[in-house]
Amino acid sequence: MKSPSRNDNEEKIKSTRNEAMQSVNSALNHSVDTLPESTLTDIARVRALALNSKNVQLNLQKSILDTIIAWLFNPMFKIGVPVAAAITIFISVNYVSVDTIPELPLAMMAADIPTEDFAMLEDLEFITWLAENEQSTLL
Amino acid sequence: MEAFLVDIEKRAYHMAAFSTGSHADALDLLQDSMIKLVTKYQDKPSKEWKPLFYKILQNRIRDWHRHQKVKSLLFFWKNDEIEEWPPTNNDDGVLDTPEKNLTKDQQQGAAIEHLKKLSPKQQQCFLLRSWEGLSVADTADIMQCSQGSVKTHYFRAVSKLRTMMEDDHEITF
Repeated sequence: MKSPSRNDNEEKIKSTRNEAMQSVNSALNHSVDTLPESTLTDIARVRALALNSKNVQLNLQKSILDTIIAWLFNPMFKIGVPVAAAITIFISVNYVSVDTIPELPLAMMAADIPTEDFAMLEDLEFITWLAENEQSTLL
Repeated sequence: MEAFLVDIEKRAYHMAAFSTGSHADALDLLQDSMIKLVTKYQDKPSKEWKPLFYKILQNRIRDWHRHQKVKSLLFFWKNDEIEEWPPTNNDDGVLDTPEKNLTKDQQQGAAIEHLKKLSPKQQQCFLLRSWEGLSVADTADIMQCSQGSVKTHYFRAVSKLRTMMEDDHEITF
């Protein structure tokens, strides 16, 4: 159990702390209440700007959306997209990649075939045919 | 939202100005914080606005201090003159009871000066807890520290203020 004098001390400290706090708080409140007119005007301007920023953002989003919609329903876009799609499909179907050409058969790379014989193999189809043959025999 | 901003703006400005010591910077910080609150958190329940707003503001103030630190390191030869805040206003009107009002003004001025002498953390903690009346949990969230730290900062701030005020008036509360 605490002694009465100790209790009194604690109470005293508590009350002095409260007094100090109140004193500073009232000083702060007074400082806020006596802000110069120019500062208040600046603060009001800042607030108006902040509140308006939401509308500006919404308007911006709306205008972007409107632009996209208008672009989608543009006649040029309606024609352009199918044409572009058709061209893309045509190119992708007919495109022959270098990777699809098979490598020279291993047998031809061996030393059995003289180097000058390679000159005879100018035709790419012939090489392909040989490669296919090589592959089929291996299988 | 507008009513909330009207209610909070002066104190928030005061807090920012107190921390930065500059009217222009305080306005910038206030504007940034308000814009962020309005654009990002307007849909949140209104009771959450206050802690959210102060969290944004304190983050901005922290960023400002970091920026100032880097700036002073990079441009160490420059001595930026920081305007005095709060501005001293000697034309405060004619007072009915000059002596009484002068003493009151002096006391309030002294209290503000004492508050300035606290460390930034203690200042921040005191302003949020005592002046704004935020809870320990909210203050801890705003200051991004533990609740124990908030209690410590607050206790030290109040003790220092009390000591300084006692020294000032050569009295013991």
